[in-house]
Amino acid sequence: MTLAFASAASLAVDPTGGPVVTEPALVSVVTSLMGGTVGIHVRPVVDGMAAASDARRAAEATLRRLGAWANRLTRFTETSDLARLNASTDVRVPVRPTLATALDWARQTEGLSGGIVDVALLDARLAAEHPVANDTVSAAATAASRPDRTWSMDRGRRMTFIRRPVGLRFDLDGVAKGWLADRALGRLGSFPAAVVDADGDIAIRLGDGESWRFGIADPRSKDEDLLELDLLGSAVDGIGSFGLATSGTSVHRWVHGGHTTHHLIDPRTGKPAPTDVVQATVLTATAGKAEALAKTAVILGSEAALIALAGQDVHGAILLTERGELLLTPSTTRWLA
Amino acid sequence: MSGIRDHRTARPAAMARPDVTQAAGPVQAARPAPVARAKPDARPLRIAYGMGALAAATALVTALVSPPPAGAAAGSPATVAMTTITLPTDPPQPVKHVIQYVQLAPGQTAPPNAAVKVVPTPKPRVVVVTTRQSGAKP
Repeated sequence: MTLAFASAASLAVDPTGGPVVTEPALVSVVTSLMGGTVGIHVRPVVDGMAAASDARRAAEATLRRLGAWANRLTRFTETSDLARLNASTDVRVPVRPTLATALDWARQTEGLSGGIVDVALLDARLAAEHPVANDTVSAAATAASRPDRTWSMDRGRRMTFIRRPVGLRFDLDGVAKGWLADRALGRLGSFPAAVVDADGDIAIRLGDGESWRFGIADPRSKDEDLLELDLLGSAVDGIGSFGLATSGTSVHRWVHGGHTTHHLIDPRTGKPAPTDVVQATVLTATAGKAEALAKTAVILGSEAALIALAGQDVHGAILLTERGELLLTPSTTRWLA
Repeated sequence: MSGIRDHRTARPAAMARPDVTQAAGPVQAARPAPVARAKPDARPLRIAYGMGALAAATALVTALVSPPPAGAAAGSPATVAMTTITLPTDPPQPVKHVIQYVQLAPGQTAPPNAAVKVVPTPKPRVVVVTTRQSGAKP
């Protein structure tokens, strides 16, 4: 894992010629992880090299820990805990605590999303990505329509067991990223402000009076953001923790025989969701919840998404439709930069 | 003082001194038998201690119960009485509570005639963090 370290002290100059105010440095550590870019940004307790050095060490340690967790949850290496679970021929499979907790969170996202978020759809996703690749994938495509995708967890005193039909495979994907961002942020509680960016799923904690600006990427442009949000930590309002996540159909997108598909599978059909939402961003209390609701909004489509989001405790939501419309929930305007 | 004698230190008259007149031989030859060494009389020192303690107790009691001299302490009952006589027309001054500022919570309104200062929103720290779809280049 390669770490890139940046520490920059920003200067605010009084235009009237007053004294120059030095703001405490911001420490950032960024690396390639989970198939994307993961970054941790921390504001030290006080200004100075020693404080910045402490913050950098904490950020690097957290990033290493996050990498270790991610390595247990990925489906792209055969030695991960998730890969072992997927490959097991047993109905009842023991799993270690990190995977058990992540699957427990996945179960919660199912309830949160009304069943739209489903981590047992790996075969359907592979079928969408490689519809006629080989026999294995054809078998996977068949499995995608498997009616029985029920699975359960047996939590023992020392070990947790996953009970599922043999052949049912899991893909934690974004569910794991949001969950990991929140978990990593929990290790940075001693700093006035900290942000964990798990490949676009962002867990944010801002102390009272801390105001940071965040961008929402425009899938149609590499250089410009769709919108920017100013998030403010407020002790009076009791707001200090945020989750900001984006999901969409424009990155993992494939064309097969003139037909375009994407990776967001609607569990009601086992196929890529026919949606008018190109991208959805949700701002709420945690990154895990934001990721689950953003994915739900895309799969449901704009009309049903706005109804569903109205029933959720979210700070804001921004939907970009294939017609080029930008739909915002009313509460979003509070945060617009 | 009184004629009370401490029985522990009083000596019987017969034991006060050896009777040298009863010696039969020459004085040089008759070595007197050793007698207990007389202790110093403690009564003068006791009297001195007693007098000192009595003087200290008297001074303490005097300090506690005697009134202070007039005008020695402002705010004492005597002083208040004098002020009232000197300025009989002054009304009693009520206690005045001065509230310099309050912080309004969301939904609260400022009291009438209060000067309202709006706390400036902190200038956002521009952070290079962008939420994006998974796998997209940051």
